[in-house]
Amino acid sequence: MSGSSIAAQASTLPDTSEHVGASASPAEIDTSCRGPLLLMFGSAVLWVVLASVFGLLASVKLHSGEFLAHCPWLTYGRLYPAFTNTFLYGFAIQAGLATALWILCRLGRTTLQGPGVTMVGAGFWNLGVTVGLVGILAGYNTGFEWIEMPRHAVLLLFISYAVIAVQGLLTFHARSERQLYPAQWYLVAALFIFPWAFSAASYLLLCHPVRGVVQLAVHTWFASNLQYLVLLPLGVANLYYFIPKILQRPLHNSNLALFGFGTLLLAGGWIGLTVSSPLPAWLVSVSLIAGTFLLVPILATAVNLHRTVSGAYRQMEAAGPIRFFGFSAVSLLIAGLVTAVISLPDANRSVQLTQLLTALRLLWLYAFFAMGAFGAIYYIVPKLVGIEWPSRKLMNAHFWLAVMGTVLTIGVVAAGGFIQGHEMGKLGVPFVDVIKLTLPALRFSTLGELLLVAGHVMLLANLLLVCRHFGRACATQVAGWCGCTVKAGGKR
Amino acid sequence: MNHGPLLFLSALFSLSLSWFGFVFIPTWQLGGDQPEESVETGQTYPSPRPGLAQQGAEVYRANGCYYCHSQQVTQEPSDFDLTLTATGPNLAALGRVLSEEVRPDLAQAAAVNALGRLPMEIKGLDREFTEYLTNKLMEAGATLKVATVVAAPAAAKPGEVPAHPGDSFTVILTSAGKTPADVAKLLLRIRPSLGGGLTVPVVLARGLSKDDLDKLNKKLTTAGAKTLVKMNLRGVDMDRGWGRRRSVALDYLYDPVVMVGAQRMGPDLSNIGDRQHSRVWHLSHLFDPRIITSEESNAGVDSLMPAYPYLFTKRPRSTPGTPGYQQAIRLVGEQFEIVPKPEAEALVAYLQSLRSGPGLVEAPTPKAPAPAAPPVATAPTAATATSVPAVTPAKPAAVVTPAPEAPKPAPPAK
Repeated sequence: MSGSSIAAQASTLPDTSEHVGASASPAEIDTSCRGPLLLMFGSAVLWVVLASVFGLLASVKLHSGEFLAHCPWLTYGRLYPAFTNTFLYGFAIQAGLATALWILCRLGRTTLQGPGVTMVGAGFWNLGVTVGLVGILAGYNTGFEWIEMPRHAVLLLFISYAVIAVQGLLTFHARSERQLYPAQWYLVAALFIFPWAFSAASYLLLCHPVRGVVQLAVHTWFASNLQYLVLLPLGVANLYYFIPKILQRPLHNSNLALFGFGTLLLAGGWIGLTVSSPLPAWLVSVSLIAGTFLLVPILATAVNLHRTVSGAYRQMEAAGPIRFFGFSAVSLLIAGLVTAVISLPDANRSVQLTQLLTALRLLWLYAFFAMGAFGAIYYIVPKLVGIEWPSRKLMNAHFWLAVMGTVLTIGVVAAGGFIQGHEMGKLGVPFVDVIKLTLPALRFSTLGELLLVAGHVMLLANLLLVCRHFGRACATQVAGWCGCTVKAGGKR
Repeated sequence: MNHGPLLFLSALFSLSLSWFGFVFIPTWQLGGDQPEESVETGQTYPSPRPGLAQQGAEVYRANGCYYCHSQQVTQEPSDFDLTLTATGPNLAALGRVLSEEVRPDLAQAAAVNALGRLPMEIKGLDREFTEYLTNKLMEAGATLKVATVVAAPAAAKPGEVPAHPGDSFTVILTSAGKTPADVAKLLLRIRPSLGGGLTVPVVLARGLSKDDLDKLNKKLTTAGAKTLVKMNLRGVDMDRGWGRRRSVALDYLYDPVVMVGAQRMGPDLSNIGDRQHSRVWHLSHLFDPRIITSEESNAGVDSLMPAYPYLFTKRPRSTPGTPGYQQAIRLVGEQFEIVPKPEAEALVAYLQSLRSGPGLVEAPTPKAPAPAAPPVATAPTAATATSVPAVTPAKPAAVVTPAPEAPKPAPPAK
């Protein structure tokens, strides 16, 4: 990362310097992003509400076997994948993509390329998620976690992703600011890696399945790439972009960020096998080593963010999007530590096949990624529509509900998983007793899930209010153009 | 890094690397696996599932049973038994190791044993030590008869030239008295080789961890002894009766979709077909897990498993001759009967087809088959019953010839 001091400065402070040459102004950028991003954020919020409802139902079913027993569509084995898939594809990847597009525009100082095409892509993406969800609920589960959607839904998702990501890459290519900021590395890498991993895994698992236990290897490879090389970079890019921007402080060190980026790329695709996986021992060892090694990029990121914020921690607590990013950053560090610890062979032996892994996954996907994505939504949407959030209270309520829900759910599930692993490892303890001991944790986690649902509803309500205000403003404007008065109201 | 292409290449590199490791090499290593001949039964394993069970796997998958039930038997790290097979030439060194660190009791027993072959001469002592020893020996054995002290003339032993002729004494022990153990303890200090004279083979330690084993083994082999290491297969899963050996890649060879599972909210199902043969039990359990009770436990009552009533048709009790009468299940104390739908029958066929695989080269089973696994296994003895005499060669030390060739322990997976 050599360059003049000006360039170096430009690369450590996201898009704050004066515009040069033909670069687009923030207002132009926001206008170009408005349609597709509102569609994507809006659908993402709807999906996350739905996903958390599925999560809540699944959580109840986990400890009450009679609940909704007569409906095949709502058995635990269908609700759970419905929850993970709507959360992943409906919310996480969609919100991540939308944020990525906006950050790429802002950092590259260029308008979004092909907003119309992006909108079509987003529409088909949502169609794909819907088809996949119905498929899962109807019993066409493929049997591979995180890629449970039937083949035709996967194809639809892949094509619509390609359409959107190509617009992202075109935008990246058309940037007028040539100097790259760390967030861009992460975003571009994630944009590339998702379609490759997704298509390769779909082909090798769903279209032309590999033999026997190789499926397990391919599936772990895909899940690892999705979690650590798509969602993790998207989340880290959010943190690297928004935290310095909101605090108006330059990023501490972009070389450290580069180091974190490089080491993440090395470790990210290998994580997830447990010691007893019926796979070659060398592969398991490599996977566990990678899990521990992941701590290196995470620590690099955490130190970088800490030094960036250092001295201004008070501002991180301020109401507004910044709090979400703060929570996300702390979760990132904790998740990295836990992943490293449970990748130690002895620890891994005792936590494999337990709820602790579920808790860890929630930590990555929810506490780290989703909270960052919420922050991005809270930051970007007002810029897109030119209207502040109508209800600050709803935003605060969402934050605290999400914090409580996350801490409660992850905490008790992790505790339950720990007990489960500990008891399961004891000789002479009947399995029924093991599960009986984890039961209180499972019951408490339902409460946490309930809080999460409530938080998401707050977000949805706030977004609907924005849309209403925005619709009114548009109607007034249109009325102004037409020279007549129209009774304002209705949706966008 | 200001270049898009560089970014692209680094992402491509990262992905290709992990693809190579996780997709390419396993495909190359395992993708061409063929059924093997079992070392236990001599039959080819595995064989494809019958058609109905194959359909049942689809039902299992569609209803996401694999989210709560794993199908992989795990195994703890093995522990080891250490046996001394040959004492080697240096009995003194072995005796010292045994009496000071490994098994003082065995060394003492060997010394006591040696006391049975009296009289014993302890030569080459000086006056001071001779007096000390005599006193001590007499103290140790209150009835110790004689410890004869003879001034050893230099000429008595032609090959030996004492440093101080005339000061050399020989203690001749003729009887150990009533407490040979005390005498033996005393003698071990000056004649450690007495402790090395064990009757071999003798088991020195059981249930050692790998580290302890290595430590002990090194000491023994440097003392010139030869050892035999026995690895015990151990595992709580096997203890619970979930299988006779750990799962290996070959077990899943004919699964169109491999559902090893990542969670255990319910018991492992790798060998549910062995544990529970009854079709009626399986069907009733699927209809409502909480109506099942067994003598061994109240597993059914406390079960968290969802009920699957939609796999059945519920109807009033029918009379013989009614269609479906044969298949219907009449639950005790209920006025209705349940007729399983084809999905339920297929699912049960699948569950019944889940059996423990036979012993393989890479995953042996106990030589003497464990007693037929009970439906709910809580037998605490199963851990020791699953031990397998897999033998590792003792670490060759400088002073001994390597232990005889022995089969290596099975690698964790193929």
